[in-house]
Amino acid sequence: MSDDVRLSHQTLKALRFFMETPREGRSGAEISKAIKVGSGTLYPMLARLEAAGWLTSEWEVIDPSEAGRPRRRFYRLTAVGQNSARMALADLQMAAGELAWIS
Amino acid sequence: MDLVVAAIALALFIVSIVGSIAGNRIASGLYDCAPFLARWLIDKASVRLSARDRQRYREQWHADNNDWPGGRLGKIWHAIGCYFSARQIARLSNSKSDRKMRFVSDTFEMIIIVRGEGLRAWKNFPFKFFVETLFRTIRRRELPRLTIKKAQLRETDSEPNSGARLTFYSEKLYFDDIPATPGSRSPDPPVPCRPT
Repeated sequence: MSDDVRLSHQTLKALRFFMETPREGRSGAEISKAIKVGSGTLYPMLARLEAAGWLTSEWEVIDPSEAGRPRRRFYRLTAVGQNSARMALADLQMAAGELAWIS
Repeated sequence: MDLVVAAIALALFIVSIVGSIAGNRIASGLYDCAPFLARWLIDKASVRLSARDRQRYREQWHADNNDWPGGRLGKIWHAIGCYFSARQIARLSNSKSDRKMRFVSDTFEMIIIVRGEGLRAWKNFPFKFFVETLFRTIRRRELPRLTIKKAQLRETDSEPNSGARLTFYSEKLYFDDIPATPGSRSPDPPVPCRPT
């Protein structure tokens, strides 16, 4: 399942952002603000991660008619996502270390 | 000669002033209607998604648009991004929904299931019209070989006068590709079925 996930630079940035507070749900706007990715890249990436089972999403618990605004959708890392993200980020650090050592 | 040059210069001067005023008006007009434009773009973007994802992303994108940084122009950029990401999300949604089935058509088709009595037409269109519309985009010679296996829910409507209920399954139709055996009788035409 995790093989489907393309670990681009933006995806790794998003995973790192999620790993800062793995249990906390983040909206698309928050993620975009933090990792500086446009919506055209962000939403397909989140959809891919969600389809792969790395992320889960849930609605904000409010009544839209009372709040006077639409509900936010919060994304959170799953247990699988946390493990996979940890491994992906560790691989990246290792690769960066090797690169530094070679040069 | 000097008079001609002076006239051209004056004309250019006037045109530049008028142009700058008009440009300023247009820019401020666009700036004023940016929130409406963003909302409109998000609505358009959500229409490009499959029926299953449409409502979810529409609400999510509107909520994110309210929080999106960069002021009014930022919100427009966000909405444009949503519009372009919709196609990718739709593709992803289709590929994960059922990979084994062959995707045939995403043009305008309908399957109608009528619940209730006394309804022979909807919005002045007889049901025959809808059924013909449904199969219009599929090549006629392919028709007998295909059986509809899955269709996505598009909308449900009800007719207040008769109390009958219409359910439209539309937009994405999946078929089983049944190989034709030579000399065999053509099977019955496709039969609508409930989504799995």
